[in-house]
Amino acid sequence: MAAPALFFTDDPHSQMDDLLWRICDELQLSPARYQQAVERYEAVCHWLEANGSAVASFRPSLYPQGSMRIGTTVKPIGHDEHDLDFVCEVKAPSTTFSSPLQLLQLIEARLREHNAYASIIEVKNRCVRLNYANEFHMDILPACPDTNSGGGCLVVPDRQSRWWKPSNPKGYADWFEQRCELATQVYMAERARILAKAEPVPAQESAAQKATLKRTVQLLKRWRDVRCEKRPNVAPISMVLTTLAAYTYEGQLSVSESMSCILAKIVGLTEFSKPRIYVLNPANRQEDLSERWEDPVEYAAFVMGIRELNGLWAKAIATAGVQNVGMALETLFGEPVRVAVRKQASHLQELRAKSALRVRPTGVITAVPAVGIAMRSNTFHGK
Amino acid sequence: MGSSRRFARQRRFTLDEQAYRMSVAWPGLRVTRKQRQSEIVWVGEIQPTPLSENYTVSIRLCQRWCPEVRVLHPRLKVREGAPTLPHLNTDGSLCLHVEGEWHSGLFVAETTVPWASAWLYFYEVWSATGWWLGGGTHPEKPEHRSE
Repeated sequence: MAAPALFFTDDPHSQMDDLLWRICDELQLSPARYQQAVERYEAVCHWLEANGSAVASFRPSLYPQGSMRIGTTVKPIGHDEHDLDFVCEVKAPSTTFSSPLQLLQLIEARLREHNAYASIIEVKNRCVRLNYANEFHMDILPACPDTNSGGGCLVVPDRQSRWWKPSNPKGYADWFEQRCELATQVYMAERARILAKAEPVPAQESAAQKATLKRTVQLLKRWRDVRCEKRPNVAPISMVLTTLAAYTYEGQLSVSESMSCILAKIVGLTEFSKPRIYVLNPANRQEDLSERWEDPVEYAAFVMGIRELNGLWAKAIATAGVQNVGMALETLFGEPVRVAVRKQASHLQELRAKSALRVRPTGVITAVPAVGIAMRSNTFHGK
Repeated sequence: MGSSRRFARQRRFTLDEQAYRMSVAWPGLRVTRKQRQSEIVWVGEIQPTPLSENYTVSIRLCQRWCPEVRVLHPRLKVREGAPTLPHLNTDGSLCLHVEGEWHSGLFVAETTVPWASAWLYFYEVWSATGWWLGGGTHPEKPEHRSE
């Protein structure tokens, strides 16, 4: 993530965003773990392609999909392992296989030939999972190109229905990245406005702007995990939350403003969509990602949850006092909030020790240069 | 030349000079009491960070004494489970500096006010987390516990 710079203004969003970035930083896959995941999947890929592999003749290619691909990973509650999804696309139409199960079994059998993989393998409905203890769960989803549809469309074997299901992970990721790009457009317009007024341009890295939607999605997923910890059966799936957020996002540069906008619009949708909201896969409009909401109990739970979140979020951003804001956010996102508050304070203290802080005329401490009064060094004393 | 520079550094600011500097730097802090050449009191609001509360503080400066800062509103609260507030004098004023960091050749506006702001922020973080992260003396105290 882009390191927050504590460029506080008098606007509460400036500090709230720094805090939210730090919360997301606690939740997401660390750069070291990410690198490790890449190495692990490259090794799996080599094993599948190696001489003697029954999969090799299908020229498999392995690539990340889902949160790993779009940068919205969230650590699950209760254990340290992220779930990371990879597609193993074979260069053969589904008709090559006598049944969807044959493709799943082919991949599974090849992985079982490897001593290390054999001991950590777990077979799931649509994938073969490798459980790397204390690191992550690597789900390998076999897939065939959908020769009828093209455009990155795939079909994936489904063990339960014993049939092929449509999928398009690359198409979905491209669509999501396009939604993230809205922030760049807003930023360029804002920059042009500021330049026209000859004010200093706020320093912000482009990667950070584009990540605003990603950070908002991470927070939504985390809220879902916290709220549905005891009732996981009614938890909306990640792809539904991600898609809803991306559809309703308007290019805000601030994570807190993006969250406010997205929540207000989703709540609006719940009021006007009868009998329910349909979240269609943007990469395959035939697919209703929210098909589980056909169950009125599940849908009602979502509507109640998102309205509650909207209310609590509005309260949290209207709250004054770092301790009170922290408490309000902790209700929504759990224990990483306290860590984030502490890390923000430690960062501020580091800058203070380097005499790199100033104080605005309102009393607000900031790392923005050349405003207000420089903070001289001092030592808090006393009991 | 050298001696006049030393003189300039060691010169004490009068209360009028302190009041003028304060009015320029912190228009929100108003003089509420002033006794010529002996005492001056400012009262006003400070918000240490954009998410913080607005604190009404009083700053009292007596000739030849260190400035004294008190929080008037909202009332400072001891964290549940903590025996006392960290870095507070027994009379309720904030402990902002050690000897030598403040002298009457410095402006209250450029020292005490920014320090009070930092104190208030670290107080809020302490209330939220139980950690005093602003450093200081008495690092053996429980609120200074580190990872």
